Amino acid sequence: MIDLVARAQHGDADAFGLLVAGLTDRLYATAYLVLRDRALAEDAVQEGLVRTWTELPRLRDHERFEAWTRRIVLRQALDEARRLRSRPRLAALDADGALADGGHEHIGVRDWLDRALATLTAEHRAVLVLRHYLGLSVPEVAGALDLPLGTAKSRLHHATQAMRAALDADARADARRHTA
Amino acid sequence: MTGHRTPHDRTSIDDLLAERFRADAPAEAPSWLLPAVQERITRTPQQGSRPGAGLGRFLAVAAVLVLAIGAALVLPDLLNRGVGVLPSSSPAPSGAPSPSGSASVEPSPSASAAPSASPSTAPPSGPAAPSGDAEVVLLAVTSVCDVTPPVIMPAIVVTADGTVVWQATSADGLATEYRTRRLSAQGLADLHDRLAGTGLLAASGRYEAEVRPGVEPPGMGGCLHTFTYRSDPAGEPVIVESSGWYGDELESQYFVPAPERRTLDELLAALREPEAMLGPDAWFAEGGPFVPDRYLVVAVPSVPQLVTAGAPDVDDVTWPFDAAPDAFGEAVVTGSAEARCGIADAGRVETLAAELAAAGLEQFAGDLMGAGAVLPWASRDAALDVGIWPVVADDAPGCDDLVSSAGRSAP
Repeated sequence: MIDLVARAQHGDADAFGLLVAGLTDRLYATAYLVLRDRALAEDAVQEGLVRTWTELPRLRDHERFEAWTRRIVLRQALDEARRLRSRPRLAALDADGALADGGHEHIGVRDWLDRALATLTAEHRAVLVLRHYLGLSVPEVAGALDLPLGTAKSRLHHATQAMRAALDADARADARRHTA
Repeated sequence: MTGHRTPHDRTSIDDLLAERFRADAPAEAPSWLLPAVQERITRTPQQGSRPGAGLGRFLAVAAVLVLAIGAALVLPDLLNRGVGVLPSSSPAPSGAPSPSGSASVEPSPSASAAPSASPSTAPPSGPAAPSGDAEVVLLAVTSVCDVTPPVIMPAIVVTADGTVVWQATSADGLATEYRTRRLSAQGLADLHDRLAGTGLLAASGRYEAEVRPGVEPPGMGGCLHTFTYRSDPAGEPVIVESSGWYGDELESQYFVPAPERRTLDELLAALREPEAMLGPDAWFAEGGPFVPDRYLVVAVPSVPQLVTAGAPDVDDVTWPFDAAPDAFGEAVVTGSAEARCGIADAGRVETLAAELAAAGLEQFAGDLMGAGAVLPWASRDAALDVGIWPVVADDAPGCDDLVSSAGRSAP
């Protein structure tokens, strides 16, 4: 009864503040990595936490507060991404599969990764972020994104494959440039 | 291209991603973000806590902890004492069909927690009602999860007259309201068959998650499910405890195979939705919300920093007991704190709740099925965490049960 989740469930805003204070940085970083936009990440976290508050009384298992909050914020982040999907600004692949914009520049691994990540949908970036940034297990990734386990596995596989394809394509293009 | 790695294997891509994410992730959220959230939530009501709402979702919300500590935790002890959960004698809990038979249970339209069950009879051509005693608990299932303090939630309670009280679950798996409905005689027999069919409730036992030799599972919380079951209303109850099932993947990776735990976990999941489990023809009467007529009040010393915004001073509210908040009821120890605990009539508790709601604590508005807040306590230069939960049985939950339940540990 006395734990912070129970208090927050009963409308104690201060208890809620204490609960999320330790989570906000990580939630924000996660949302940013998924959305790759600080303003969007701020919106996602803020809206997600308010939604967490309003729905908190329905949380059955207090132990799952952190995972549950993360799930809500991620859902908010993906909603933000879907709203922006009509305005594509992501890098495109050329005929060889290499990244087209700036592809002739001398780029390093960091750029490769960023550009390859930019080719992914937010949904696919999300599984990579959860798996490799937060270190979640695949079942935990599935839970965080509210996906069936098989879908999460499939999405992680495809995201990884897409990263590999993009990176390899750029490597081939880079090799051609060096031999030309 | 200098210094680059061309990842051709999965491991290198995984490593690169982890490294890149760590480098790219902002170390901190903007400093204004959390205060902005806090400012917004102070003017954002939680679901089910809107003032003036009808039978609010708050009932459902609060019911999580309400019946949790109230009914379920108490139930095993009640069973040992031979006390029923849904007594037919006065005062009967609202919403609980009487053993004499109820055609329907009317949801209370008001915020009052007064008893609302109406006597009724079975339809002339309808199913027969169970003839058992409403004071005999046949089945009580609770889940204790290892938060601090532990939270114990009753998943379902069934008495010998066929009355079922359970916590409904929404489509997305969240706890919602507590409901009550009376099984037909055949429905109750079907339930017994389902329970017996597991082969695990014939004798007391305990099934714990046993870690495989040589592996160390990651830190995981867990719940302990307790099934207290009487196949014969006159017999002694069987008590079966089982650690929650972590899912096939984690189980196969870290734990010794335990089909019993999986079976019991699946049984609990089914029991949480008894109407779906037993079908539409299993019932003697329509169902309705469970409405209590008395409340358990617990007051625990707290820290002033946690005082709920807008909360009135404890000394200024109408306390539902004759004795002061530091002297009413009985002393109990929950965790490391010494608390006071007592049971008060619904009317007196509702007066307190109305005052708190009027002060802006919306969780106390509407139908009071459980609420809590930290209030300032000027005369003690302290704060008091006041929690209110409904009583679901004639003399339960008792404060002793609350303490004993809070002291249980999860696996």
